[in-house]
Amino acid sequence: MKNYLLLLFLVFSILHEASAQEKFDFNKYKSPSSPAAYVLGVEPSAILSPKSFDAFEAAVFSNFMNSEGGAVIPNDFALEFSPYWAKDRGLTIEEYLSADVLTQFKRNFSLSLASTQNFQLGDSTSTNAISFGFRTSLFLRQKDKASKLISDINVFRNVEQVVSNVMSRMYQYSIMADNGTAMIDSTAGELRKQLRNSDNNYTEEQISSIVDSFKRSAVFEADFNENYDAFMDQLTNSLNSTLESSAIYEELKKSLFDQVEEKRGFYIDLAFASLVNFPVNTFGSGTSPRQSFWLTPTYRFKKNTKADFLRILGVLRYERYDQDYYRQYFPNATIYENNIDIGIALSAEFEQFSIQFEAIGRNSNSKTPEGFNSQGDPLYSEKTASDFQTLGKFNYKINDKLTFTYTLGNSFEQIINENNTLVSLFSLNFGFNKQDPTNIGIFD
Amino acid sequence: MSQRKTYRYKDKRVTVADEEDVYFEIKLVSNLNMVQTSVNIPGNDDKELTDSNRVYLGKGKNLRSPITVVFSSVSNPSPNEDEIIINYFINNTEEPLVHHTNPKSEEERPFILITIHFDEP
Repeated sequence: MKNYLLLLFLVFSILHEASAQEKFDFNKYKSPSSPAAYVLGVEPSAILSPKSFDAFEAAVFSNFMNSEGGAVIPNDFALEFSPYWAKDRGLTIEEYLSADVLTQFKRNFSLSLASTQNFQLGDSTSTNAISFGFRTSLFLRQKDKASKLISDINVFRNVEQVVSNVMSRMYQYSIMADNGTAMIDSTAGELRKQLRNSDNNYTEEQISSIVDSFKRSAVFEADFNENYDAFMDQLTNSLNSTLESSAIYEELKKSLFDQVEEKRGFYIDLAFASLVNFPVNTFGSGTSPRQSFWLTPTYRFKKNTKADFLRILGVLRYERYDQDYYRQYFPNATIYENNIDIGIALSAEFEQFSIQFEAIGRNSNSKTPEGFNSQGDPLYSEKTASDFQTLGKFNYKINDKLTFTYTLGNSFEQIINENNTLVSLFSLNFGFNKQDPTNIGIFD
Repeated sequence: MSQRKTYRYKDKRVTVADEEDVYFEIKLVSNLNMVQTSVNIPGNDDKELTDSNRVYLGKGKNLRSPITVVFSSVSNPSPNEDEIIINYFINNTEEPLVHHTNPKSEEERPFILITIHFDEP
């Protein structure tokens, strides 16, 4: 009986935690990954990502034109397009890493487009709607980390240059060589010479070790005279393997994108989106009833410093709603014309536990026409509402599968008790979510 | 041992006069490539190039025999690039001597081999 009650209690806690999390989720105030889909209120089954201007043009025309050449609004459609990367620029890695703010703005800029034929009005009528938006981000990369990465890239390039230098000479030598053994011996000699000249400054001991390793590995299936191309391929790859070019490359690739994705330092996400609805499904009835703008600055402290466990996130979201539209098509909804949400979150993550504090202030206002005065001037009444939400969250990882979470604070909405916005929830997570349970998740 | 694929462009022929200056150029087209190229010419004055670059190989008469070998080691770590595209030129011609392209799904780190014969007019 005791076990049954404990199980019931745990299930109840988990379900409440799930629904409560949805209601005061800080993530919904951050710049969305698809601003257009967000204002449309849809979750498309697939997002098109054309990689060239031709592909972008084809995606738009094939979805927005019917077989008679007329315009249509497709259902369940979403597209994200980055104009900067649609053109081949021959950009090098070093140029990519050293971009100034304006260049980053252009590189990270993406257009988003979404549409649906099932945008529901207040009376559940399905209508056509389309939305468009953009998103970009600016990152102030840490100089020391960028310098380390450039240094690693140079080491890799020097290894690759050794491979190229040796093989260009060996292909030349192969014209005169008459057997595979001579090729291998000459390659070993050329390898030693190129390592001595390399900017990686190998010691004689290292050079001897590399050359000996090459000689030991140079046992090829293909015969030099009978299968020249296959022999030369094996020679090249044996050299590549001896120099550990692939291992160095994989490490470099990981570092490159850890730095780009992990983003230690200060960065800002910007996004904007606008909704266009056709309430009576004719082009002439099109109206733009909603626009949203996001500004999300984030700061992560450097790794291996005293504060590297700390992250700070700010959010600013402004949303504008057309009052006339919502009065007509959503008469039962309480909608304000101007809505601003400003918030901040602080997160501290340690090995066994994490703590997060977040606070969001909300202010909404709108003007309602109230007729005219005796001079014929329009009169308005102003309606305002404001609120404040604060939450603290504590996660403790009991083991790899089990995490204890406690949330305390004051939310915008009533969660459990009527007329009471106090939040006090604790739960146990049983590791169904593959994500690290101590990862708060708002910084993803 | 991971095997990298070699793409071969053999026996390319270019006509150059004895006293004509010969320049070799490599131009990267796709983004975020890392390319280290070696040009082996007759004699000891071999050339090294990093990424897009242009070098002077010498007079036509000094490049006759037997062949000039170009070997590039290419890597492209970008997840946004589906294709590697590189052009090789001799002496600023409009059309490249070699227009290399390969899908990254086929090889993310190709080797490129070009052998060139510089013929008399």
